[in-house]
Amino acid sequence: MKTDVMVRISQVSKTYGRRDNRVAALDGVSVAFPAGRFTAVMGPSGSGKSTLLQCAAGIDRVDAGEVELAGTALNRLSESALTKLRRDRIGFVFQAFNLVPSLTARQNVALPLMLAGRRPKRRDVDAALDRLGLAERRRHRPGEMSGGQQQRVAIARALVTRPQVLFADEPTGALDSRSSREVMTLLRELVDREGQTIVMVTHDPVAASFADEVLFLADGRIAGSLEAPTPDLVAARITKLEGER
Amino acid sequence: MIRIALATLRNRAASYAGAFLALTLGTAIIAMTALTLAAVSSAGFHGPQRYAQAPAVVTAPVTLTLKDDDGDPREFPLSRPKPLSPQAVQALSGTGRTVPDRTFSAQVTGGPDDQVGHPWSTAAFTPYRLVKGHAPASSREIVVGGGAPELVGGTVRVATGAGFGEYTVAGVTAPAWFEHAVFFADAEAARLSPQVNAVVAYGPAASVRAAVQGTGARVLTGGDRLLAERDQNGGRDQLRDAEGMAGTSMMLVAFVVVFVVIATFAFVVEQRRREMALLRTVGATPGQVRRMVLAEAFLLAVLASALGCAAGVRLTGVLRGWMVDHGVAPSWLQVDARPVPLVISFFLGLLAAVIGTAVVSWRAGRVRPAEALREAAGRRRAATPVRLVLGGVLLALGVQKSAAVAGGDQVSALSMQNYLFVPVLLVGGCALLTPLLVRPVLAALAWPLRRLGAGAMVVREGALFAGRRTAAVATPVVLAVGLGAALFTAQDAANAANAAGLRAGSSADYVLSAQGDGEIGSAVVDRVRAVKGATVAVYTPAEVRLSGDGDRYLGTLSAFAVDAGELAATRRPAVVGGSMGRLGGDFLVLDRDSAREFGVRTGDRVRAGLPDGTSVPLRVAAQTRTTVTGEIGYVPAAFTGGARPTQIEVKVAAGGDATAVAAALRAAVRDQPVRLSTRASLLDAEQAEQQRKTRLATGNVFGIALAFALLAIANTLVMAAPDRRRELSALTLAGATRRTTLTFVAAETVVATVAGVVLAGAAAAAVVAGQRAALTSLVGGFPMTVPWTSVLAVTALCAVTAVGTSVVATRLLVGGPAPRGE
Ligand SMILES: Nc1ncnc2c1ncn2[C@@H]1O[C@H](COP(=O)(O)OP(=O)(O)OP(=O)(O)O)[C@@H](O)[C@H]1O
Ligand SMILES: [Mg+2]
Repeated sequence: MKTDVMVRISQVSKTYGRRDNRVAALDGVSVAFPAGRFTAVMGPSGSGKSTLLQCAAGIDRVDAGEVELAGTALNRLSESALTKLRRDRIGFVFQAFNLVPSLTARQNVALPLMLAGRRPKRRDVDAALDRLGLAERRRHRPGEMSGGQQQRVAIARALVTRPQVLFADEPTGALDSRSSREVMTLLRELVDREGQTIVMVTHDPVAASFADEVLFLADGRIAGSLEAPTPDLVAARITKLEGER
Repeated sequence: MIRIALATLRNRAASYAGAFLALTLGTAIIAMTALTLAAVSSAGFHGPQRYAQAPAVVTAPVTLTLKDDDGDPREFPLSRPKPLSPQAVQALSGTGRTVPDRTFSAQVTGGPDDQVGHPWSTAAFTPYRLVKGHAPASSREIVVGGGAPELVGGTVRVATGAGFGEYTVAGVTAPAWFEHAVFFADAEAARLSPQVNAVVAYGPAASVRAAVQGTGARVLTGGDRLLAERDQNGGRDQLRDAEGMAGTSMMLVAFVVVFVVIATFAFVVEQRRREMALLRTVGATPGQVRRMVLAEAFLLAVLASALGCAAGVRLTGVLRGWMVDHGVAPSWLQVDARPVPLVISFFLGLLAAVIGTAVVSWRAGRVRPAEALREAAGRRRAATPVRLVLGGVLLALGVQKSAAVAGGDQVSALSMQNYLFVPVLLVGGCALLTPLLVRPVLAALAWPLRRLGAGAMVVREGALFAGRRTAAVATPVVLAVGLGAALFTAQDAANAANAAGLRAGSSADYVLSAQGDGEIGSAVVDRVRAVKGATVAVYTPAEVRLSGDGDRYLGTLSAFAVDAGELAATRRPAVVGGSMGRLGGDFLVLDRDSAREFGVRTGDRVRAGLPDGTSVPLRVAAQTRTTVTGEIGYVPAAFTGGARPTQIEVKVAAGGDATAVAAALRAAVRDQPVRLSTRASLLDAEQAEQQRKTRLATGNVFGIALAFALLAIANTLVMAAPDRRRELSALTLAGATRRTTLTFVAAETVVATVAGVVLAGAAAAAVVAGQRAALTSLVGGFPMTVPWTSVLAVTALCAVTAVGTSVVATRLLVGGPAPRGE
C-alpha cells in the first residue's frame, strides 16, 4: 500500500456570508488524503463536506490555511493556472449533476479533453461511457436521461482525463440501490486495479463501506475517522454524531 | 471549442435569434441614416449647371477678393453682382452671336417661392427643353420651367418687382434642379428687368476678351462659369434641411441602437452564466470561457451587421421618399450605396455587440467556479460597478453640457440639432442607472401589488431576483420615453422661446413682406413711405463680407441695410456695447456672438464687401445681445449693395390713427405681391408653421428610434421567456393557475416598465429644466407646455408592447413542468 500523500489540507477555514449571517463552513480543518486510497467523507447535512471537497479540489478558495495537491500549493496559483492544474489532475463529480444541457453524453464526456486542447479520441470517450453502462445513451442529452444515468455520465466525464484524484460529492445520492452498488463497485475497482485516489462524500453507510477509510465531519471540524468500515459501524458513528447536535 | 460553441448556440436559439434580430435591424437603420447623411452632406452636382452649354459668359465682377489669415488671396462669390455695363454689352455685339441674360424675381401665383425670370433665348444654352407647348411668341406669353403640362394654355398671375402681370402659359419645360425658372419673351424680360446681368458670347474667346478690355467686365469660361450662377454649391444649399434631419437622426439612431445592442448582447451572456460556470468547473480557464463567448458573439455579429447593412441600403429608399414627400429634401436627391457609411455602420454594430459581450463575459469568466455556480443559480447584483460608474459619468457630462449651454451658448438650446447631446447624455445616464431604481419603484407600487395577494411577494421577489431582466426591459423604456418626452417638450419650448424672443425684439405694428423669396418693388416702397401718421422702416437683406487691416477676411454677416432712425423706431435690439444713438453714415451694428467670432470690438474700423462687390468702410458702432435670431447685423440704408428690400416694418406714430394707417397700407399693397399683416399675426403664423415643421422632423427622427426601442423591448422579453420556465413551473406546482401565473408575469413587466418611465421622466425633466434655464436667459420668460399627448402615447406604446409580449411569449414558450437536467 502506498503511503504518499496526494492531497494535504492544513488548518483550512472557510466562512460564508457577511456579518449578520456568518456561517463557518470549515473551521481549522487539517487532513491528508493518501495516494491510491479510497476515502469517504461523512457527516450531518450542513457539516461542510461539500465545502471541504471543493476547497480540496481547487474549485473554491479557502479563507485561511493551505491546500496542497501532489506537492503543489493551490493558494498562490492564478485562476488560470489553477484551472489548468485541475483540468490535468483532478476529476470532480458534483452533488447535482451539472452536465451541460445542450451537449450530448458523448460531448459532455469529451468536454474536459477539448478544453485541455486535446483531440478526444472517440474510442476513449466511448470506453468511458461503456464502462458506466451508458453505451446506449451516447447521443442523448441530459434532459433525455434519468437522474442515475446523468450521474454516471458525470462520473465518466470526471474519469476521462485519467485524473490523479477523483473527488465525488454524493455520486450515488440520486441512484437506486442497484445502480448505487454498481457505481461503488466501479470506483473500488479503479482504486484496486489502477491505484486511483478517490475522495467521496456520501450519506449512505453502504456506499461508505466501499472506502478504505471514512472521515467524519461535524460543524466544520474533523470528528474522527474509521478504518475498514462496514455499513453497520458507519451507521452507528453517524447516528452518534447526529445525536450530539 | 467551435463545436462546443455551436452546440451551445442551438440551446440558446431564442436568445441568439433575439440578439441577431436586434443587431440586424439596428445596423440596418444606422446604415439607412448614415447613407442618407452621406448623400445629403455632399454636393449633388459638380461644375457649371445653368451655363454648362454656354461657351463664354461675360459679367461684371462676380467675386470679391480678400486675404485669408496667411495673407493669401481668396475669392468670395458675390450674392448680387452688378449688372454688365452698357458699353460692354455694346462692345460684345461685334464679336459674333451674343445672348443677353437677365435674372429677376418672378413668381407664378401658387408656384415655388424661389422662382426667377429669364429671357427665353437663354433657354438654348441652359438645360431647359420644352416638354409641351411652344416658345413665348408674344410679350404676354411665358414658358414655365418644370411646370405641370396642364398649365399650358392657361392664364397665370406672375409677381415681379414691377407688380403683378397676367400671362398665358405657352409651354412648360422639364424641371432643372438648380432653379425654378419662368421664361419671358426677350423684349418682355428686358422691360421687366432692364439691366443685363450677363452676356453669353458665342464668338472666338480672344475677340470676346479683347472687346471687353477696359470695361471692367469679366469673361468666364470653363469651370469659372459656375461663378456667375446662383447656386455655386452643387445643390448643397437645397440639402440643408435634409442634412440637419439626417444628422440628428443618425446621432439619435446610432445612440439608441448602440445602447440597445450592448444591453441585448450583455443579456445573452447573462443568460449563459450558469453554462459558463459549468464549463469552468469542467476545466475551462477564464480565458477559454471568455474567448468562446466572444467568438460566438463575434460570428453572430458579423453576420447580423452584414445583413443589416444590406437591408439598410434598401431602406434608404423609404427615408428618401419620406423626405422628398415632406419637402425636406429636393426630388433630385439620390441616395446610393457608398462604402464609407456602410463600413462605419457595420463596425458600429459589430463593436456594440462585442462590447456588450465582453463586459459581461469578462466579469463572468473571472469568478471562481464554485462561486460561479452559486451565482448563476442565485441572486446577483444587477447594478454592476461598471454600469453605475458609466451612468454617473454620462449624467455628469450631460449636466455639465447643459450648464455650459445655459451659461454661455444659449442659442444652441433653440435647435434640437445642436442641443441633442444633452438629452442623449442625460437619458443615457439614467438608462444605465435603471437597476438602482427597481427597489424604490417596487416600494412605491407596494399598494397596488398587494392586491395580487400572494402574488405581491412573487412579483416583488421575481423583479428583484431577476434584476438583470428587469433592467434589460427597463433600459429601452427609459430611452424611448426619456428621449420622446425630452425631444418633444424641448422642441416646443424652443419654438415658444423663439416666438417670445421675436416679439420682444420688435416694436412694429405692421409688417409688409414680399411674397415668397421675392422683393418689394420701389413703387410699393414709395407708396408705403407716403402713408401719413406712421414711421416706416425698410429692411434690405445685405450679406456683407467683413475685412480688417490689409483686406484680411474676418467673416460674413447676414445684415440688413436700414436707416438708423427707422431701425430704432421698429426694433428693440438690446445694446451691450457702444451706443445706438447718433449712428452716423458708416455704422455697423452686430450681435455680440458674431463680433466675438470675427474678432472685432466696438469702435473698430472694418471694411464691408456689399452684395454687389462694392467695398465700404464701416465703424463698429454697437453690439447687441445675441438673441433667438442668432447672427444679425445692421448697416446704413445706403449700403444695400444692389439688393432689394424684402420687408417693411411700420409703426403707428404716437397719437396716430391706427385704422387710417392700416387702411392706407392696405391700399398701398393692393394688387401687389406683398403681404400685409399685423406683427402679432405674422409671428403667430410663423410660430405655427415652425411648430408644424419641427414636429414633423422630430417625429420622424424620433420615430425611427422609437420603433427600434419597441422592438428591443419585445425582443428582450421573448429572449427572457424560456428562462422563466423553471420558476413558473414551480409556481404551477405550488398551485398557481395559468391565469395567475400570467398575471404575475404581466405585473413583473409592469414593474420594469414603471421603473423605466420614472427614470425617463427624471431624465426628461432634467433636460427640459436645463434648456429652460438657457432659453430664459436668452429671451426672458416664455410660456412652457408639455405635449402630453405625444409623451403619453410613447409611454403607452412601450407599456403595451412590454406587457403584451411578455404575456404572449410566456404563454407560447413556457408550459408544463420544468425540463430535466437544467
Ligand atoms: N454560498 C453559501 N452562502 C452561505 N452559506 C453557505 C454557502 N454555501 C454553503 N453554505 C453553508 O455552509 C455550511 C456547509 O455547507 P456544505 O454545502 O459544505 O454542507 P454539506 O455538508 O455538503 O451539506 P449537505 O450534506 O446537505 O450537502 C452550511 O451551513 C451551508 O448553509
Ligand atoms: Mg453537500
